[in-house]
Amino acid sequence: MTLAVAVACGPSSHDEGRGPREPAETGAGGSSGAATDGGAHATDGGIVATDGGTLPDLPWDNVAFPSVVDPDDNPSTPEKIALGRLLFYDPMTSVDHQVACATCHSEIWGMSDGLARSVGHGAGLLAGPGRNGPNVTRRNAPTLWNVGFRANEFWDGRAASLEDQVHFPFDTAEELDTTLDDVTAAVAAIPAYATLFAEAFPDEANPVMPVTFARAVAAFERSLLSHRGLYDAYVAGDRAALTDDMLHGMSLLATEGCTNCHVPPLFSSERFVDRGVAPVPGVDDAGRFEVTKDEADRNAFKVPTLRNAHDTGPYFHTGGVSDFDQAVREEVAFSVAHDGAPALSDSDTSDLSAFIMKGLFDSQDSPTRPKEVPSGLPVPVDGFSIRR
Amino acid sequence: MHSRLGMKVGFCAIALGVIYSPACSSDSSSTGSPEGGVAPDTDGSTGGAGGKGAGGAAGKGTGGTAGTATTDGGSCDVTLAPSDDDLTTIQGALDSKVKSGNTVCFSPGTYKLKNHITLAAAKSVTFQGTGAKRDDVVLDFTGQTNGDEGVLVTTDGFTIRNLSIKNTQGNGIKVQANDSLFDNIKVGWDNSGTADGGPTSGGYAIYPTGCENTVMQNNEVYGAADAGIYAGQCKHVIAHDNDSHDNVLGIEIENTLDAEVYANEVHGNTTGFLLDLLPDLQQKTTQNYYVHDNHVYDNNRVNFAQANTLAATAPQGTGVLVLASRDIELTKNKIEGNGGVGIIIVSYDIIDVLAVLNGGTASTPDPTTSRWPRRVYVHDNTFSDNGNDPQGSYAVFAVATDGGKKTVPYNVLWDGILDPSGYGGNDGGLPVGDAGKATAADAQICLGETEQKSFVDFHGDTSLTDPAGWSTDPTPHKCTLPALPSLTP
Repeated sequence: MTLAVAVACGPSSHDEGRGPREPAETGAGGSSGAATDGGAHATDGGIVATDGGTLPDLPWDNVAFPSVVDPDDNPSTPEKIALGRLLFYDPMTSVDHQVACATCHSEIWGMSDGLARSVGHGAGLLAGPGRNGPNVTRRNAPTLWNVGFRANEFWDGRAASLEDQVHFPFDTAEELDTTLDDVTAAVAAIPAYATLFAEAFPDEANPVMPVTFARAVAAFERSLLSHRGLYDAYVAGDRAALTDDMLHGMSLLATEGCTNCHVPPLFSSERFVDRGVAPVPGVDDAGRFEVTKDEADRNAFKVPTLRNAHDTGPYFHTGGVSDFDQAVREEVAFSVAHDGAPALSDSDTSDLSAFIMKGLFDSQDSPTRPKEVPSGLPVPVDGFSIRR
Repeated sequence: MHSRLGMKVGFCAIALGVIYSPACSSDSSSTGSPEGGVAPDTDGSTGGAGGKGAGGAAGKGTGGTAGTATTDGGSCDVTLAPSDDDLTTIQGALDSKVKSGNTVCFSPGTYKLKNHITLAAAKSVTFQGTGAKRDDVVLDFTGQTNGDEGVLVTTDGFTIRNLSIKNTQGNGIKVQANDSLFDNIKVGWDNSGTADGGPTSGGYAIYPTGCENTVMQNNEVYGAADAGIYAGQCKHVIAHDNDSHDNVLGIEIENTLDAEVYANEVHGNTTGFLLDLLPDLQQKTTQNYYVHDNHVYDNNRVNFAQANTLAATAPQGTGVLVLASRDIELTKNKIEGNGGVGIIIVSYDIIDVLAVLNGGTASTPDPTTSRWPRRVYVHDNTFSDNGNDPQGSYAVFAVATDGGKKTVPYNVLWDGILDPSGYGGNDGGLPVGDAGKATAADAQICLGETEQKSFVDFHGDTSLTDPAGWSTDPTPHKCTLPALPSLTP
C-alpha cells in the first residue's frame, strides 16, 4: 500500500496542539491554477493573483509542491513521528551518550549543524558552531528539510532510503560509534520507549526492533517540510511577497541554469555533479564514485536543496564556504566557465542570493526540541537554542 | 564552586552561534497593502491603529519615532477575535488569508495558544491589537507545548503593536528578518523565577536576530530567564523608552553593528545591561553601541536563568556589563542602587580564568573574534547607592564601612586583560610587530571625570584575588573618544 501524505494537511506530532491547517492556499504551488503540464514555461494566462490580476509568469513551469510518498512498509502515523522525534533527540544513540541525531541535524541550524564538517562523539553535549572534538566527519551535514522527497540519502547517495540511512551513523566511528542493534536493545529496556513503540507499531508482536527504530526516525524525518515561504506565497497569488530584487534573482536562477539541478519547486534534484568544489586538504573523498565505482561519478556529489539555505551554511559538501553570497559566486563562476552561463554583476549576485535566502526560507515547521527524553539523559544542547 | 562573577564550571564549553547572513538585506522596501484587499474578514473591522507599511518606520536612518504614530487611520485587512480554537483562528488566517502588506487586527480578549504562531509566507505584515491598551489583547501561551517561541516571524517589514504576549515556553517573540518594529507591546512571564514559573520562564522576551533596521520602543518586558530586550547579530538597532524589569538581563545587545539604546527604564533585573561580543557567531564584531540616558536601577534580582546558559553567569547586582565588545559609548545614564557595581568591563578571557579557577578548562578560542573590550567611552553618567549589597563575585571587591557594612567602593570595574596582539595593529592599536607590548592605555577604556574617581583595574588575569595587584590609577583612562552618532533623526 502506498500512502500519500498530503503536504499541507497532515497533522504531525511535532505539530501537536496545532489545529489542522486550511488547505494549502499558501503552500502548494499549483493551487492557484496555472498550467502545470510539462514542457515550456507556463505562459497561458499566468497565475491568477488574489486580487484578480495576473502575476508575471514564473521563469519555469509552475509545478505544484509535491506530496511526500511514504514507503509501502512504513506509512507515517502521528505515533511513529512522535516516537521518531524522541529517538532523534535522544543521545543514548551514541557511544558516549552525548550525541543524538539532532546534534548534527538541529532545528536551529536548518536541520544541519552550522559546522563545516560535523563533529561526532567525544565532544560533549553542546552542538552548533564552536562544537569541537576529535571525531570530525568527512563532509558537511546535509539538511533534513524536505528529505522525504529524496530518492536516496547522503552526499554520495549510498543509502537507498531514509530507513536505510538510519543505520549508517551508528556504524561510523567518528559519528555515533555504536550499532543500531545495541542501541535498540538498550531502548527496549526503557519502559517509556516500550510503550511508545507499542503504540507506533501496534501490529508488531515485538515492536522494539532495529527496523522499527529506523522506521520511526524515518517517519519523523519525512515530516520535515519547508514549503510555505515567500516564493510559495507568490506562486499562490500574493504578488507583493517577492520584491523586485527577489523577482530578478528568481529569473536569474533560471537564466544562469541553476534550475537545471536545483529544480523548482523543491529546488533540488537527484543528480550527482562535480562542481569543482575545492576538496578539504587531507580528506580523501571521491563522492558518488565511492558508491558506483563509475569514473564518471568521481567527485560528483548530490545536488542539495536551496530551500532554507538561509539556515544551512556553511555550504557545499565540504562546508568550505560560510558566506552564502560567496557560495553563489562560486557556483555562478563554475557555470560561466563550464556551462556557458552569462557572468553576473555583484548586484545580480545579490539579487540571486536574496531570492534564495529570503524567498525560499520557511522554517515554520521546525521540530520542537524536547526538554527531556525517555532515556533520562540530558538532551543535547544547541549553542543557540540555549540562548548562546 | 561558585566563582567570582557567578560564572560556573562548564561555561567555557558553551557553544555560541547563529548563522544568518548579514548580506540578506537588499529588499527593505515596504510594499504596502494590495489594492482591493485580499478576501479580508469583514466582521468587526475595528478600524484600529493601522500601521500600513509600518516596517518602513524602522527603515534605514529613520529611527523609531515615526513608528509611534499608532492612529493613522489605517484599516484591518484581516480581523481576528478570540474563539474556541485560537490557534486555528490565528494560524489559519496567517496561512491562508494574510497577504504581504496586510494589517492583521487582534480584537480585544485573550487568545489561548499551546503552539507557536508563525509567519513566513507574507512580508510587511502588521500585527495590531485594537484594544485601548496593550493589556486588552493577550496572546496567552500558558501551557505551550510546541515551538521555541510564542511568535516566530521570518519575513521582512514586520510590525507588532499594542498587544501582550505571555508565558511562552521559550522566547516571547522572535523575528529573524529586517525592518521590524516592536511598538508598545508587553512580553513576559508571570511567576518567573519562582517554583511555579521558574523552569518555564522562557528565554528572550523581544528577540530580533539576524536583522537590520530594528526598532523596539515603548515596550514592557518582564520575567525573562534571559534578556528582556535583545538584539543579536543585527545592524542598525534602536531601543528606546522600554521598561525592562525582573529579567535576568534587562537589555542585551550582542554582536551587533550600530545600536542606539536610550531612555529605557531598566530595573529589578539580575544585570541591567549586557553589551557583548561572543565568539563562534557569524557576526564577528561589534561597533558603535551608543547607550545613553537610561535609568538603570536596583538590578539585584537573584539569577534564575537556566543552568549552563550564558545568562546564568550574569552577576547579580550589576548595572551595566560590557563583555569583549568595542566602540561603545555609555553616557548620561542614571545608575542607582545596583548592589554589586554600576559598570563592569571584562574580556572573554575572564570567563576562562574563572573556569580554570573552578577546576574546569578554558574554552577553545575562536581566532576570528576578539576577546578584549576596546574603545569603551564611559562618561557623564551619574551613580548613586551602587555596591551596597555585593553578592557572589562582587564580595571580593567589598570593603567594610565604618558601620561594618560591606560595600564595593568603585563605580567602574575593568578586568585589565589586554589583547596580546596589541589590538591588531589598527584603529590606533600597536604596530603588529609590537604584539605583547600593549599597556592599559592601549585598550582605550576612556573614562570621564566622575568615572575616573571611582574606578579599579583589577587585573583579572594575574590578581583577581589579590587587591594588592589592582590599580585605581586613572591615568591610562584619561582619554576621550569621538561621540557616537545618534541613529534617531
